[in-house]
Amino acid sequence: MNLHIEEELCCDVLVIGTEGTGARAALEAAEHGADVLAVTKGFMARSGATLTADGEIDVDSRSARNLFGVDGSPDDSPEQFARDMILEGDYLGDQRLVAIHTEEAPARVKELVDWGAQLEGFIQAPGHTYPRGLWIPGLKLARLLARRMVKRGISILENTMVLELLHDDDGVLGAVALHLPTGRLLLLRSRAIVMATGGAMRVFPLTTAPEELTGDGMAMALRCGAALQDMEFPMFLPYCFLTPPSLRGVIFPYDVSTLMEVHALNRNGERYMARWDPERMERTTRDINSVAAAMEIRAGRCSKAGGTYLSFKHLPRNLVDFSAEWFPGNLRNWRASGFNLRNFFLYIGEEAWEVAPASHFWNGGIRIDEHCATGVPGLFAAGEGTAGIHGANRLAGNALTMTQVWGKRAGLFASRFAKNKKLRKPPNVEVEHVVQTIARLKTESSGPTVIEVRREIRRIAGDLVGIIREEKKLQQALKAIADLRRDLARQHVVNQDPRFNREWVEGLQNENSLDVLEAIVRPSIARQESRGAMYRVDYPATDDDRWLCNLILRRKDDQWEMQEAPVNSIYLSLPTGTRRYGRKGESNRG
Amino acid sequence: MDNPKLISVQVRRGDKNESELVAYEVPLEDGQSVLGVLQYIYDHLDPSIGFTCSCRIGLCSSCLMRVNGKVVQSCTTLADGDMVIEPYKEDTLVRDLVTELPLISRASLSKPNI
Ligand SMILES: Cc1cc2nc3c(=O)[nH]c(=O)nc-3n(C[C@H](O)[C@H](O)[C@H](O)COP(=O)(O)OP(=O)(O)OC[C@H]3O[C@@H](n4cnc5c(N)ncnc54)[C@H](O)[C@@H]3O)c2cc1C
Ligand code: FES
Repeated sequence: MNLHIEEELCCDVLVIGTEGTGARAALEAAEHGADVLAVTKGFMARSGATLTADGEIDVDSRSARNLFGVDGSPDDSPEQFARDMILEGDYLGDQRLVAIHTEEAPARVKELVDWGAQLEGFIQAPGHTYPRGLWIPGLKLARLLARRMVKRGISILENTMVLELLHDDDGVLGAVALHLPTGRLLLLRSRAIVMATGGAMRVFPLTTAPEELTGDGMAMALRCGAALQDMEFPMFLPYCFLTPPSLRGVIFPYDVSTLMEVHALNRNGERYMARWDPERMERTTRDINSVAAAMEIRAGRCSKAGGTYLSFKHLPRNLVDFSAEWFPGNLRNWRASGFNLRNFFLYIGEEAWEVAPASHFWNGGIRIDEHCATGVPGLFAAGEGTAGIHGANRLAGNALTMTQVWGKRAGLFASRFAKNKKLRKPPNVEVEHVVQTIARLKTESSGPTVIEVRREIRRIAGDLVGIIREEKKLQQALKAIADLRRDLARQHVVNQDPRFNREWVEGLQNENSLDVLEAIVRPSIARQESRGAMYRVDYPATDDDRWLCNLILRRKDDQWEMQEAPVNSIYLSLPTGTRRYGRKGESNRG
Repeated sequence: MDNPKLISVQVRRGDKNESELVAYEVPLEDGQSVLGVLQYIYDHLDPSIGFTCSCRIGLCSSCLMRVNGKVVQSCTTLADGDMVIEPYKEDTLVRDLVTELPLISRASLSKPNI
């Protein structure tokens, strides 16, 4: 096939991703006079993680009280919120970024309310010293921002997958993208770029996250010279449906576990959490719940479908029935997202549900500074898939806050950068090089199919990386990834119809997912301890003397480089010594 | 499952100009969705089949289809027997089951604004 660029679009700021983060960045850049082009792989407000969010969005309790009249505590403050974030992130968060985050959060949520968002609740989730969780359902948030973008006249390109960034020594020049409905290649030229492409949860076999989240943005940024950080900490959510097949990954059982007294059981009927946190049991934090479940599964005490059981049979029937009435809005009446659970279970509470931890959020990602700059001139990044805000583990409700605080900042700094820059023409050879890589996928026929490659990526991620990690398996993973890399160059595509070709999309995603997977494995091998969302069964303790550092990855000439960087701890001093996994580290200053 | 039941799934394939019903035999797992059936066809029988989806949990509506004549979200609709799957809207059909979903206006492709 003779593949070439068929269309060229120019803008000041190219925003990749149009949901919580991307939309906020686009609005801000436009506000500062930039000509913005926002691109998304799916449909706007119909793709990405934002619209699937339950709705918790955090600000410190005092500001919530003062700004919105909710029953917040006057004793809370942005500083206290920052302290909780640093503790929950097991001290790996960049304290400079954390302070900005909690400082700017109230104004960002206030804006949303001014723009028409309704606050539908106010809760206190585990890990928060005070109630901080305001409630704006993700779908409503995504639609609100989308409407605002359209009203603002921002150019939006849907169903367009960005494939590679173009750059030279002076910075970014734009990107090459595939327009999915037509199969045409587009050259998107820009003065600055905001990467707002979300996480890579789809790398794992069981996930709560939507289709698009295959780590494209992290992989593209890495290949463009940016650094990735804290990639060993993908977050898992305990108690997601494992079966029946249509409910796989649905987080409702987890929601129930935060609202009612549930029992997590292994196949022997034992409440195994007693061995991990006898006091809080199933009410302990999400990371410990996930690790405990994964250990049961690993020890062969799994459920019929390979997970664990979640039971509320011990609760009286009328109590269970009543919960259908008082659960928060979108969870009421046994509605699990768009499903009605009564279609699946004859009587809710009679049977235990088969559940397992599912890949849910990306704590690490592209390394940024307080200006969302990546180190590559003109390349900015924000939102899920950037590192430093949440450290090794995220507080509930704090991702939506992240999209607004950091989306706005990225839009601001990218538009400022673009003002002083010329729109430069990408050299033909560079464009041609990218086009050739894509053309290879379209014509190659000797290797495994893209579907087989995707399965192998998920097998490696699930069986050899997963939640419970160990040196031996991680080394096997590295080897399997190296083997797969050879196959990747020969991925076979059966269908060549250019219109909405799923195989092309998957083949291109596979390249990104494999880079991301390797970026998890390398620091996971290096970090010989357990911390936050990462558990090493061969190094189960948390070692603050040796491992209070961020692991930073770069790729140069197809080689990986890993570096240890000291944690930025300008506000709260770092703990010392070693401690049991799950026990909070003590800071003595701040 | 030991011997899963086989169901017959007919999918309307093609575009605005020309289309036909193509039949597939799919093993039916208990509790599988219509979207899951399409994913099975794509993964195991025919990777050329075109369909869109995102959240897979009934929130985004990018998986709208006409199943046995009724427009539904295919991810939350259970597959319980033989079925006919068609695009939910003919006038904005791109290919097979893929239609443009005009929730909000979008920039046209030919709008270079330097
Ligand atoms: C089920 C679920 C429930 C959640 N509940 C909550 C909650 O209650 N509170 C909370 O704070 N957080 C919650 N989260 C997390 C939160 O929703 C996300 O972290 C956050 O919305 C991410 O926003 P984002 O804009 O950074 O990325 P996303 O919303 O994921 O958007 C990514 C965008 O990038 C686009 N994209 C990706 N790759 C490409 C490419 N190659 N080319 C072009 N475009 C591309 C996608 O199409 C999409 O538009 C939840 C997550 C899930 C999955
Ligand atoms: S895939 Fe989102 S509603 Fe079906």
